[in-house]
Amino acid sequence: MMKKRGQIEIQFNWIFVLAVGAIILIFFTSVILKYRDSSEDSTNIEITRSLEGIFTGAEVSKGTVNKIDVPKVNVEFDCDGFRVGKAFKKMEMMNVFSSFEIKTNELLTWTLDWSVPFRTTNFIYIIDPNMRYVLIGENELSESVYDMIPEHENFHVILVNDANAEDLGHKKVRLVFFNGGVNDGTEIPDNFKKFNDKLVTAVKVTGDESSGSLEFFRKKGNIFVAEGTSYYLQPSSLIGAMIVDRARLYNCVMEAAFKKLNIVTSVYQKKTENIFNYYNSIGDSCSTYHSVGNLNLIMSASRSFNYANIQNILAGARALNDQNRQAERHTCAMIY
Amino acid sequence: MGETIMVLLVFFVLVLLGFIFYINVMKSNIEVKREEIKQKEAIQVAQRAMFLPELQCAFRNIEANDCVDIMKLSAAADIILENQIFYFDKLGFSKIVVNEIYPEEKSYLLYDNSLPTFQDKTTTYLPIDIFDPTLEEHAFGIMQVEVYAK
Repeated sequence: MMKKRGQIEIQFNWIFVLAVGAIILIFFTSVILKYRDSSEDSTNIEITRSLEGIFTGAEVSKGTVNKIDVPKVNVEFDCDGFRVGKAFKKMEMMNVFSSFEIKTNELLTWTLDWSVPFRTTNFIYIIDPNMRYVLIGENELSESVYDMIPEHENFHVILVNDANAEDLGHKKVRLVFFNGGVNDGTEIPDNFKKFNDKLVTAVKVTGDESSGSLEFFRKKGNIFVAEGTSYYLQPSSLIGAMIVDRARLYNCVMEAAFKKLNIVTSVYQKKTENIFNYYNSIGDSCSTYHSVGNLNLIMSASRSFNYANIQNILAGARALNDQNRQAERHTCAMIY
Repeated sequence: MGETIMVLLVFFVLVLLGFIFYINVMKSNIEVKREEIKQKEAIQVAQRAMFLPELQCAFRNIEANDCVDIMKLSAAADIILENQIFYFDKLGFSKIVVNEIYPEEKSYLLYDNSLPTFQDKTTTYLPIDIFDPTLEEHAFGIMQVEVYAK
């Protein structure tokens, strides 16, 4: 009887130890997993905040190129902002041109102003060091764009006449056709056929330095497939088309830029009206150079991003430039 | 058996004490981080406000740093108010006032999205040149940027 009780007690003890051990292990494992997840989320939020700060700094220093060391995480850019893991930063005034997805530990930012004709906004370009930008077709426009590009070890750009440029081992390729050498169904250059479909994109540029049209393409098997069309206004937006790999992203940034142009133009319009009223009140002939017609043209054309409005904005910008020069020549207050 | 239970009890008490200590350390780290983020946010808003093309002086489209065009300033206040949603992600919960302090004393409210109840407020003062393009006169001013944290 006593032996039986002892045997049962030993077995019960073992069961008890196993059960408690399992509970302790499960408890600590779940704590570790939860901590790891929250740590990852916390890191992503930290990176998002840091990127936001970097973009602010880049935005206010136009014409600069900055190399930033970041942890190797996936950064995704979209129309309304950017995301690092679960952390998302909303950007109402999206002014960042970038590939949809970048995974690198060295980000390169480049900033150029967009002036039509006064500075409206600064565009920030996020250069993917894994991307090779191939400009195809040596002409005045392509050479002008190529000359604008800053030299940097992480910014891989070449200007060639033949689309079948040598593959130098880059993970992604962006082909920019200035010679019209791509249409829907055009065969991919041989050296890039082996790339994954998502890693090769193209854009066809038709126009001059001030404006033109864009056609975006993506790789599907061995051919290019059209993805969308758009337009550019001024070289800084053309460079944006070179940097983004999706037509949708490009259009989003340009629509936000047009919205900003509308707002900034309305500020200049009111400013010019105030200056006109001032000169009128003192009988100064300078009021002749402060009519708001050209600004009104730019303002109404900037309500919507399309080709006709781009031409109207250009016409208004040129006329405004002349008007501004006239004001300067007659020692009147300048519009901008 | 009883001994095993007591050992486990002591073990869990120690683990609990360890967690409490860890949480307290984390709390103070979070406070420090929070303060840092608040300061960075305030600086970013101030930077963005200073470099708004809606305000900056420009001569032949070349911008002058730390300079506000008085004609643009008067116009920008109303326009920014009409487009407050558009400016929210740049300027957030903040209040931006341009105060002319010499030769005259005037105040221009540029942006006001302050919180009625807030946990913290960081104020940054930026000295600026206020330029009148009609009279070609300069005045000295301070741009006051108040950033609110919930």
